[in-house]
Amino acid sequence: MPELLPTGGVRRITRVCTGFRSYLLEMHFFVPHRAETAAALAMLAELLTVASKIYPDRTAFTEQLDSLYAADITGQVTLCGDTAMLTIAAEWADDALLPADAGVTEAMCTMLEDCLLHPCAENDAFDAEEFRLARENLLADIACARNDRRSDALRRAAALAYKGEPAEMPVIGTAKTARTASASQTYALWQQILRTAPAEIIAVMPQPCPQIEAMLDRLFAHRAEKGAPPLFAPSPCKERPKRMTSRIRAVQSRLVLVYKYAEIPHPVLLLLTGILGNAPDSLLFRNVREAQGLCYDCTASPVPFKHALVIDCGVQAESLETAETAIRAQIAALQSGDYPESLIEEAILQIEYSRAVRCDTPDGMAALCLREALALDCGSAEEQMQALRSITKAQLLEAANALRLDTVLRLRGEGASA
Amino acid sequence: MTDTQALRYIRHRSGLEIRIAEQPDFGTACAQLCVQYGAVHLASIQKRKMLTVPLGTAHYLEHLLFENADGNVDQQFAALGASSNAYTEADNTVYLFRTARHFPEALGLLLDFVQQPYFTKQNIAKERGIISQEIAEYSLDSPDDRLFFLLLEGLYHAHPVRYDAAGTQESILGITPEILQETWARFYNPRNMVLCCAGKVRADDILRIADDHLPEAPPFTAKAILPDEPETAAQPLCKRKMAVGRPRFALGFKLPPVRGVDAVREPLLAMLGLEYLAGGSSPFTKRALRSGLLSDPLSTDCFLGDGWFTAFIEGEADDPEKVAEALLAELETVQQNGIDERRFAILKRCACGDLLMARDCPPAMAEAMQNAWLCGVESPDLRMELLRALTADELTAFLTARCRTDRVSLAIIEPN
Repeated sequence: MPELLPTGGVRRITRVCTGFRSYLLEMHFFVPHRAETAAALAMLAELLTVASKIYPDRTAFTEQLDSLYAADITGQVTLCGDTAMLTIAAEWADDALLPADAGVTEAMCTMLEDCLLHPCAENDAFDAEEFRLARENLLADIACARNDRRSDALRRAAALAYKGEPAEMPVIGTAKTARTASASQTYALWQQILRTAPAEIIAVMPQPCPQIEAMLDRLFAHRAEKGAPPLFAPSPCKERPKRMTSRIRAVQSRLVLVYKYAEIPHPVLLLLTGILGNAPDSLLFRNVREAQGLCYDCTASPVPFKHALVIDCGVQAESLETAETAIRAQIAALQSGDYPESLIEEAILQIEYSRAVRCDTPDGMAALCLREALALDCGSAEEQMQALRSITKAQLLEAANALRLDTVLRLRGEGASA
Repeated sequence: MTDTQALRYIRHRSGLEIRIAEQPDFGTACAQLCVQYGAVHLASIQKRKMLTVPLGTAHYLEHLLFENADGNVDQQFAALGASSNAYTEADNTVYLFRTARHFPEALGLLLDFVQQPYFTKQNIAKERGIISQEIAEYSLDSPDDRLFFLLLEGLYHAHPVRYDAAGTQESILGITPEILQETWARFYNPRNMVLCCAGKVRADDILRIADDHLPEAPPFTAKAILPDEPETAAQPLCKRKMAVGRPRFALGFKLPPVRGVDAVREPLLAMLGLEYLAGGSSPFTKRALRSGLLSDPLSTDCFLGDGWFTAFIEGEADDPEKVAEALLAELETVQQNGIDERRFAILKRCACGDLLMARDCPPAMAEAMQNAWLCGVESPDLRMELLRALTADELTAFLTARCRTDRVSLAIIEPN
């Protein structure tokens, strides 16, 4: 297994929120997204969270979590630009709400440490039976990627927009790499990640917890207190937009437009996206959904690590052209400043609202901490609002005019799913 | 174990029931107004006058109420910094918002827009395109939704729960302003609704706003009419082909409908029973994973309401019929041998933990209060009280008497 990254640090972020009813511990490990490791990384997300040395099969492991009042340990891999993020998370109920002898926090710290340090493996390879199941599930996930038409469309658009870059590849790899990955290579990959991969550890809890701190000390005390490296990997914009039309077995057609930009400060991008289309009252909602009744959902989502903005919607096949024209007209409006000033304030209020919602749940709070750690948000809510309110219309115009159409994907529904 | 939260139940002079959870630790507040009128209520009688409406009427009404004389209501909520939404269930419809500021103004808007329908031919025509795409995206192209309704088709002969709440692209063509107006007039009476508020709210503010926005409602006299439904399953096996990567299936048990305390207690038994049978820690799952019958544990759920109750197991497998056969054989073994006390205690503990953690934000609390109202009980804490009191013998009796192999349907979505 080649070295993945120079040894990185491990940063711990802790938030104590007295109103919460559960503990949430998230460990995010950052690894370059590569064809040779993507499938193994996806399997790790399962192998590390379904069995361990102490609970060596899935049913015994699940029974132990059940007995700890529905505690949960989960794993997943997501993409941050050209970097894969392996997340191992654990959540359990606050002991204060449980019978006095429950001891859930203590037991979960032991279990989590066991999962990471002593996964179900022998002779430097994951247990053969567990590995077989993980591979079978990964192959099923790869085969079922088309089940969700929207995600499938976004994945296909990413492959076109980021062609030649690591982000072109599906985050969970391909069937071919899943079949060739071995139990020993996957185990070696994990050992290397545990030893060297930069990590952000986020703990959200109803009260300070020395057991969690002690467990993290045992796992990571030897690593420097430093978090993820910069993850921004801007994707160059094509000279001429790439257009592709394919057929899909679905009633509804899908349309995805990918815009790219050289440089837009993140708060400006956030506000611009809010005005365009991820707030309830936005240009896309008003003028594509409500005024023309073309679609149910039409959403704009920033992909800041790739310097991209993705717009997607589901429409009937005959409306693909009209929908593209309507969406591009909203971008033109954004670029000419032809929209009500009230949309700016509404977008700011929606960003404030989204942040407040995040602060109300452990997973939302953890997401907020991660966004801060990855330089997507910074400062307190008040500071963020102040930064947003200081953005001028001229800055918004400049940012909107930095958007360049890069990719248009049309997936034409054949008219029936069956 | 403690789970005490300050809850208030008020019958407002308008006739509206109001349930409030003051949760000052949270930064947001939410309100949801639930009408006991949903997709299955296709026929009704009021003052001897029958009304039959097309499939999808309740859902269409939900969409149309977001239009008022001042424009789109979502935009008015957005101007307040609130996020609004609505959903149509089989036997109820819910209008909701959540906000970090201007809660009183947003609550006033919620109470007003649901009380002030504004149906025009133009907005009905415009909304048809949006709903048509919603039907395409969810009802027709989503394998999960298709599987769910295929299962309900297999279980129910006549009950309209077998149809998707949004209706079909054909049925919505028959929905007119007159149908929407008459339906709204019959069912959108505050005496047929509950308002649930949770989070950073104050009961006094809520009552003041209710006083300002809600006049006393006339008596609620409409009665929904549901067809007679046999006890047996309509079809033991339903298959459909679709663009999916692997077969997906659901095995459902048709259970007798329940109301009141039973509507809280029996779903607990159903969930414990199915988890005992096929959950991630069950001997069945262990054998199925080892033998290659399954590669991932199955999931379990139940679904109940006005005249229906089903509990089901679902998942993916290369040979769903073989999995279903093995599950039914396992059920017979459990029915004969009874429940293992140790596993029962663990599953009960797991269910307690789920209930405790499920109320971790204002919308979850509001929904718990709303669900209690829909079941016809007062306190959302009743679920936990009933769960703690359940015994292994009661679970054995439930699985034996209720989960009958002649009231089962298997739905399969096969790759095409």
